[in-house]
Amino acid sequence: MQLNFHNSYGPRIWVAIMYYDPAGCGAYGSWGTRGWWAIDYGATAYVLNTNNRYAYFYAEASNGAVWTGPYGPIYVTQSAFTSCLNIGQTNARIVGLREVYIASNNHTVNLTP
Amino acid sequence: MSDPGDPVDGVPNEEPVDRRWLLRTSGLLGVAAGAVAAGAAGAGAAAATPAPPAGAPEVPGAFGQPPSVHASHGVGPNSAGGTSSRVGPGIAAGPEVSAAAGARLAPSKTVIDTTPLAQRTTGGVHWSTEA
Repeated sequence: MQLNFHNSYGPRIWVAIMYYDPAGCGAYGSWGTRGWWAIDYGATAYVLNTNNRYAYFYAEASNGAVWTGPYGPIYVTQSAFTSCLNIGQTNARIVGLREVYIASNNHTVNLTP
Repeated sequence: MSDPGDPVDGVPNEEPVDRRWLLRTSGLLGVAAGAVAAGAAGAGAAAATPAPPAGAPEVPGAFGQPPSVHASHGVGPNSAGGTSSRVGPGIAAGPEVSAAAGARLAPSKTVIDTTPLAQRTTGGVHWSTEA
């Protein structure tokens, strides 16, 4: 299943995700983390190919709007990162995530105003 | 022992005309049948071959930086016939409404900082989004 994010919001948006990865992150919570995808208005980013129906994301727009929630939380770094749920870093910040249900083989989260 | 008699038309050991025609015809038919069989086998193989895996996801970059040159532009949220969900900004309170099977996390009870990253000052480093 493919997970995409589409910017219908306006200002540029950066997206980070958490996805089920028992093979790569079995010792660190079984969930992998990855970011950042920059998405301009009207564009779509393909961020994940997974076999699991659930994933989680955090998004932040250049005007300060955030898409956040009670999941995780995860450590994110300013540079591009690929890590696991329970791996921390001294230069990281913590964000909470929203849940997304991947309803089909090609699901798009449409980030709207 | 008696010697074999001379060939009738003077061509030594030549097959009779009818037999030559049959051999050539059957040979042609065999080639044609082989080609058809090979084609059918190829078609069968193509039908049995699984669809190629989807392309790899796009490569992420740094927070605050512009999109990579590989990021797709102008693609609608449901252009490939899939599904989409509309999500406005803010703080989600709980899970998606779904009972589908799959690995899933419970909401954290930890108090989470919801301040935008670009507005946080911890560590003395500003995560700019003005690129």
